[in-house]
Amino acid sequence: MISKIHELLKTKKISCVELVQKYLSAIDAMNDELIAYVNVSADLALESAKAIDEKIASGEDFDVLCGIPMTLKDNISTKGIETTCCSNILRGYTPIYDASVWKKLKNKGSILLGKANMDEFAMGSSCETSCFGGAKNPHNHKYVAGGSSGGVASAVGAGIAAYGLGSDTGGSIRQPASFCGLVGLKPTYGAVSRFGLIAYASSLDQIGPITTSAKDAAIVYDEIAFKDDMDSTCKGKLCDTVSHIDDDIKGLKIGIASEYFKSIDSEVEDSINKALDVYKSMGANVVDISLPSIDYALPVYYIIACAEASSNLGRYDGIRYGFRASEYKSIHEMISKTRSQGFGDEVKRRILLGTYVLSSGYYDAYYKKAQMLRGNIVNGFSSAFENCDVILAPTVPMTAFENGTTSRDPVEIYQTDICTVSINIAGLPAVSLPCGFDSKKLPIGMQLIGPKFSEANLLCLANKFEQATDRCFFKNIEGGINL
Amino acid sequence: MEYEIVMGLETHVELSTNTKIFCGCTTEFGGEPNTHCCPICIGLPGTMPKLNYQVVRYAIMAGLSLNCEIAEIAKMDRKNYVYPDLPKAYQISQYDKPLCEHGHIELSSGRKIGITRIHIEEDAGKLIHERGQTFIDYNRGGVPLIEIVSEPDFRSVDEVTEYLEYLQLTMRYIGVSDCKMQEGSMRCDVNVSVRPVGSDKFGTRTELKNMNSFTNIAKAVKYEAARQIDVIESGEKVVQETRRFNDAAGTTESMRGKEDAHDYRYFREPDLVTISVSNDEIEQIRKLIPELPNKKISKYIKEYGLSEVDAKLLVKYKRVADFFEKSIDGLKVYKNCSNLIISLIFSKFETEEQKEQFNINVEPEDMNELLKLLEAGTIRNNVAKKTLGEMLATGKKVKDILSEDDLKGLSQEELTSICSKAVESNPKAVADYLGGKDKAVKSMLGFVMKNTQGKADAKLAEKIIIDIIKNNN
Amino acid sequence: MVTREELLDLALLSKLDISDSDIDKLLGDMEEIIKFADTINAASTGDAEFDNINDLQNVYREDIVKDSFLQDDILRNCKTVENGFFRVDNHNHVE
Repeated sequence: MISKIHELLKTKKISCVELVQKYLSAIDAMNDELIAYVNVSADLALESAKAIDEKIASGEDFDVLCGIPMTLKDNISTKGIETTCCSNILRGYTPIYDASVWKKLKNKGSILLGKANMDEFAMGSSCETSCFGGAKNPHNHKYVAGGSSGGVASAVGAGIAAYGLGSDTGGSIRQPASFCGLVGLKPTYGAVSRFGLIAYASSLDQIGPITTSAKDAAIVYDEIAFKDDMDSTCKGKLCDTVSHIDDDIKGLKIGIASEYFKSIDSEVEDSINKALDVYKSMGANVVDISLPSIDYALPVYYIIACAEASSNLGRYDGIRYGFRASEYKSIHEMISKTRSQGFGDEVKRRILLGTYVLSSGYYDAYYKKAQMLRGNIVNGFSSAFENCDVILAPTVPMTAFENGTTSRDPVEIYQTDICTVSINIAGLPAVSLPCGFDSKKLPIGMQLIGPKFSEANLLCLANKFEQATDRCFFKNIEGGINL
Repeated sequence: MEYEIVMGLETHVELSTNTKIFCGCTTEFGGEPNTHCCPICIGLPGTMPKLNYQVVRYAIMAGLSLNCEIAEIAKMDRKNYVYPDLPKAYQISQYDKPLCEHGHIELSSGRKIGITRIHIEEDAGKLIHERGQTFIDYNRGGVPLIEIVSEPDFRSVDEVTEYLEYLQLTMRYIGVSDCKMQEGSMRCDVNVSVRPVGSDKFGTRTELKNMNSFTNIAKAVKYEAARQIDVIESGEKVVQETRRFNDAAGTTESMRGKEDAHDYRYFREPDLVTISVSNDEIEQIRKLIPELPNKKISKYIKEYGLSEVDAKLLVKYKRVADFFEKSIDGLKVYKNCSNLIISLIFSKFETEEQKEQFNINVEPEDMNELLKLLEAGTIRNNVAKKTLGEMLATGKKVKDILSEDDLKGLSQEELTSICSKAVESNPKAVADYLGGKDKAVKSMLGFVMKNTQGKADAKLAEKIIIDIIKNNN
Repeated sequence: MVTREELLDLALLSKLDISDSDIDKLLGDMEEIIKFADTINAASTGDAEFDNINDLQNVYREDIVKDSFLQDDILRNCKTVENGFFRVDNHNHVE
């Protein structure tokens, strides 16, 4: 999509303003239903488009991302544009600085159409904990777009954004990409700067692209993965991925770990088996591997993520920004009331769990033990990658949930993250890509997991599958922009 | 029963770096509220800290100068608590892997005070409570601190004072902090407990928070110890708690409210990376540490022959000690210099601050020139004083003040000749002297001094005068 | 297991108010969640150790002053600002 738009702009088949107008009217027509965007910045987008048209007219060379209309998850700070994490507690908050990734993309000329819906503070798997209501699945509005980056997946899937950036703490890029039939890349921890990403769980969070092709994901990744002075934990990328997108995959070893196939819907399993056949036909080898350490990945993930979240979310006290409770008898009461009225139930539950596992008397049994198990998981992957180059697994055990079904039992919903969280725990890269449709015509996704900084290899494999299957698992949505 | 006070100190020292610990904002004291701030130090969502290396370097310097072991591996942790002056609701500090551990200092009594640890952390903002409203200024938020934690080794307020003065002096010497208690760049929490004399078990302690002057520390500890003894004597138990000193009432009061139910839930700061300190690095940093005040004092006494009082007076202010040492370059007698500094230069200053600043018109090279003349006997002490006085007042150099004649000094012949004149022109004094009035020599001596513009050595002149009189009679 | 008192303590530490009407539902949820977290009890950790997800060391900043932000920007998102300070009224009532 990105290359196609670039070509159209370059050959002047369409002006950037026209392009943006097309997108904006599609958003107008579809967003009320989808709730993909929670904030559309039409004027700013048109203004930037005008500037880019001038640049193009001047005959200047322009970058492949220049003039591409896109979206950002609403937890990525945008100077002068409201950024809420889809929480009532941050309503009205306008950052005074840009996230490093957005600064870079803005510099490259990407055009922000608006901020995308998400689960409140990225805590959820359906986008339904958003204070604006959940984003809908473009393939069927009765189903969720997934979470937490549901808005980005909904927008890109519906064709009302050419690409988008989400964040992935336990699957929040890959799961909605899977639900919406898209490519979602969760980069290696430390490949992409987190500066400006409103933290959920700092040792797990990574920003990554959601796109309509592996090539697009590579283009975006190459731009956003750079060493950033503002993020001490950020190393940048090892190498360009676009230049490796057509590398040969003959002889590559794809590992299959039975641990990822426990309680998987049969339709999902079938699609993945077929995908394996495709890879075999391209000359890849399939090997069985074992990853017993990931058996405890889910509770380990929730303990660590919630512990960090309880600390990261302490700052929402109503003093410097965002919502403040209106009636109180002391500052302490103001803070408690602000937080109680401003946070939704899921956020409160995770803060409480996080406080619990860090509190004296429980620290060793939960947080410390979870950290040790995290070490086990890291080691488990290291040994697994001695026997294979990538691991293929389902992204989610099922296809998209029906709207309104995720508010029941919190733990039941946590279980659906079973395939994604271990990758964040180990800090590894993984790409989710579509590999089928279920009987309800909802997309099925699979993920390729690699060793640290193996994004080039993962995107190449994803691209190969996409080409070999003639992009048959990508579907254009009516009403969206399809150039 | 007789009781003994046991105390341990947690001393916060603000480091004099140019920038804050995690962002590039200035650490300058004061300024309009919220003007030394950026998204990082006001904790806006999404911001991340980046550690200022100077903070690590300064903390290691402090550790080395307090005989600490420097950690090979250290890390930063989050200390979680909600308070309006703490914009992230956690303070980035160090919990179980501080930069420095196991140090000590020696008091003048010879007793050692153990330094448990020194860690680096960020300061909080400032709250002003007025008319039922709270005003918040985050300028101070993120200013780097080291916390120096001592063992519970103190047994008297005097020891505490000596320790704090020592810390203050040492930190100033190595240049890591100005340690101004009144500006809050040195603050102290005192853990106090009491126990029967002879007991080796510690009593339950209370923590006196944020003490900001030596006088208040003394008052607070005295009050708190007496209070604890009262509690114990009346058969009750001391409650372990945090207390604040009420300056006006001279008492301590409990700070614990329901809201302060603290459980800091420390965990590793995921936004920062491991601090690893190599031996090479430590040695490089060690080179930055100047001679420490306690070493200097004993050198001044033993090698320079100064009195303990004078040595301490000079060393108390680093700039003075520096000036002193440069001024005595190449000299054999050091006392002249210390005398001039203490009696003459110090009298120009009214406050401790001014002595600290030691802002004077005289370069040590000029002082050295003057002292050389004095040591060679070219000029006399009174001339030296007068000259230095004028140098301080006008900024003139030695040679601009003293004439060629002054600098020539006075030969034996010249002196003898003037002494002869003194005898000749004072027959009455000669008669008085011969009549047994020894003091009569003084008036002849006055003549000599007057006619040599004070250049004469009074003792020598007196001897010559007496010789002349004796020879004449 | 988490008791009502423990939950209220956690809420106090987390600066959350729990109304009487919510507490039973929340207590049930938290019991479920903690039960779920408790499943790691069964895991053996062996000699596993974990330091940090990134293997970086000594990432530092030079001690060079950068311009601070404008006071207006720093205060921009606060609705109660006075003389350059963030202001919070110690109590507030809506009539």
